[in-house]
Amino acid sequence: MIQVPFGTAEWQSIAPFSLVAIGGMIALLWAVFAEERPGTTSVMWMSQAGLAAGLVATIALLGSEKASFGGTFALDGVSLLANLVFLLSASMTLFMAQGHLESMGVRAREFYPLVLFATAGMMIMGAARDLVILFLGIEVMSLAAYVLAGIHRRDPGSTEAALKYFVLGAFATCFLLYGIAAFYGATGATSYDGIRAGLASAPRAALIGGVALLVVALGFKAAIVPFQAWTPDVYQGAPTAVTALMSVGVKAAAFVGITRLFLDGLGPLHQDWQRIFWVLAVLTMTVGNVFALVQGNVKRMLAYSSIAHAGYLLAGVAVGTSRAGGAVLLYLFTYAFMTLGAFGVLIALGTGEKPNDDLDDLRGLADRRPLLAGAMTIFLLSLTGIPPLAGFVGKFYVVESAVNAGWFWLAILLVLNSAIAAYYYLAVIVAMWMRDPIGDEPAWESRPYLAAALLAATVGTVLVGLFPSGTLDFARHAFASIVR
Amino acid sequence: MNFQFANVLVYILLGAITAALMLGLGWLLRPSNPERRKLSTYECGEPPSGSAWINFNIRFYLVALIFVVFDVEVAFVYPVVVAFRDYVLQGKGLLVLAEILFFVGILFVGLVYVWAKRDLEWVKQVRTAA
Amino acid sequence: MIYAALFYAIALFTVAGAFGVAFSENVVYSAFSLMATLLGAAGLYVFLGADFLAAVQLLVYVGGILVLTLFAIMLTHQISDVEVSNRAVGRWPALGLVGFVGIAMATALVRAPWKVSGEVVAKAAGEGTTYGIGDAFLGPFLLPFELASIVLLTALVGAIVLSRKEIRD
Repeated sequence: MIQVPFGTAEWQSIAPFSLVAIGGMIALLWAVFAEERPGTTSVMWMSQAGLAAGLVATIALLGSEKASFGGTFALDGVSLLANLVFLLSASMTLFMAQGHLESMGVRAREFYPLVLFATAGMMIMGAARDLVILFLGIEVMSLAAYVLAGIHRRDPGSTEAALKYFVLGAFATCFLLYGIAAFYGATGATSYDGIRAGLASAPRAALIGGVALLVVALGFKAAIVPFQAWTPDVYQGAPTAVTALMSVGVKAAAFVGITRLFLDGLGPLHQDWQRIFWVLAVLTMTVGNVFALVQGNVKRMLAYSSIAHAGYLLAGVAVGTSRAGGAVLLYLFTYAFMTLGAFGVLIALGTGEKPNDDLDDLRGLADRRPLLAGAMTIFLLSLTGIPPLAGFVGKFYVVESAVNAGWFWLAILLVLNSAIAAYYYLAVIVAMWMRDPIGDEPAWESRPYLAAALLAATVGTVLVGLFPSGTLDFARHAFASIVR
Repeated sequence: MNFQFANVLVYILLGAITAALMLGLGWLLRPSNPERRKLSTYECGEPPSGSAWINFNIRFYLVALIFVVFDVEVAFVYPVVVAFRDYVLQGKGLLVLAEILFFVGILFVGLVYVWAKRDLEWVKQVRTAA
Repeated sequence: MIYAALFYAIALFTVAGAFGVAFSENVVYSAFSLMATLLGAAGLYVFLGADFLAAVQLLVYVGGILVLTLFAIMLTHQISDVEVSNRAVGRWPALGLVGFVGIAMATALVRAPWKVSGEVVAKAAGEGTTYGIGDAFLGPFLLPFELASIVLLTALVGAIVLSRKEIRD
């Protein structure tokens, strides 16, 4: 009988995600028992309270570094900083969805608790130091995400998105399980410590196969080329608030999972996976950018742009130093603000009948709604990587870490890709400010929660861009103990 | 190895032999007198109408779905209960019981949810907003 | 001798079921063939000394998920004569791809000197695995054990949300 101690470290490490999950359960029951209450505001605030509880726990624990459950679950800077990204994106998603879903005719109040379950799954992924725990975290997050993508059940696009995401996601899960089995068979362990210890004496063929299987499975979740085929359809078909959560929270969770698994658990194999990630990173950013160039729909364009950003992030993972790990974490932080903001603007443009997210619908927006156009401009400039906005510092430190480790070509290709990306981001800005509007002005609704979320995203995009050093130092320091 | 599974095998074999014996005996003893109507489905003597493959009510699906979830729950709790006794003897019974109750409790929330949502009722009462 | 013959009989049963699933023109027959595959897999688990897994396979897959699959088929409109909108790539490329992956995996399985292998099976077959699994759930795998219930809860809520009839007003 092996006894695993259950003490303070265990309680502390599970506190953030448990509070969010319990908040989700309370919100779920509240959504059912308070069915007579009109509107969903009370469920939304209950769910926000759950997220806030997780946030308080995360902030209270900032700075602590402990191993729990025999080293299979981490409580360190990486998991805590990642928690901030997840909680932030979930909270903004809830605010942005308020009113948006009702105007589309979505009646399921389970939306809010499901967002919380997805967030809990992301937080589990961010802290997992055992392949089984990573798998369970991915499943909690993905199951909730499949349903959220299809929550608008009367819309064929949303149903299609849910079905595609689910079928392909289940297929990717098979790869993950085969990969876990390969590593368990080869090293006799599923925990990262055990795998590290067993790598030296493990059969090489099984290790290569295992790495390939895990790259496929996690690459699917992070929408990395060539496992990205589902992304545009799913991102476009899902309700925009869900798309925002998927392209920020789900992607961030996948990247934190990838970073921790490869830099930590599979660190000794870095020569093998670095080459794979190098190629996939360049492929991902290029394919994402080239396809984004020809989109006439802004939501779909943002889906391709999120693929391109996955490429930039993967470049950081390929470099694989603790500097690069810190840069990836900072990038996720900056990416969260600007992407949530950009999708938030698209939500604001939609009315009950029409999403209004074609490029033509944005023409002349500056005349009709100057504040919204201004916010969108800031988000797009940040996504392009114009200093001093958040997107610039994110990219800058990834490039810096690549150059620092001697990966010049990767850095050059990344900068070239950013230049391509500028074209399609600027096209939207030009349409908003320099073209005349087409058609009558849609009957926009006023949504105070959405406006607050957009304000927060704008402030975040500017502030992180101006003062990145605190977060960066923290993230680099967090990775120093992981990359050995 | 796995001799405890030999009885399962014997059981399966006995079942297969019995069925084969019955059908075989019938095949040997009965007179052969084929007719088309003999091949039709027996519905209490009435001539059958329509297809047997109809669209099921979605309620079947929902109930089966809820069943599967709790089926898996049982599969998870069962081995823990097998190991439970040794933990009790070690004086850790309460801790382990709390862990099991925690597991069951999370799913209890799901049960309360489907119950309160009336997904367990066959004929769902739809409350109309007054 | 009997042991090996039994193994090959069960393996044949499993693979034949899988062929039935893949090649049956009628999706209802596919579902019933799946039962053969799942039963056969349970038999193979017994050969691996995984007695608990074999029981769970029967309880959950044959007893639960297969029934669910049949309900899902039966409540779909006109499922037996669907027109598939996505054209298949064709059987020969698929055969080539699947064959390549299958051979690669089989080679890796046979060649690699796995760390977890024969002796684990022998030990499990001797004393059964149920106790060990329960012990692991309370020991090193306590967190995964508890997390599994969150997975189940999410799956339950999600499935209900997607499959419930929407009340329209």
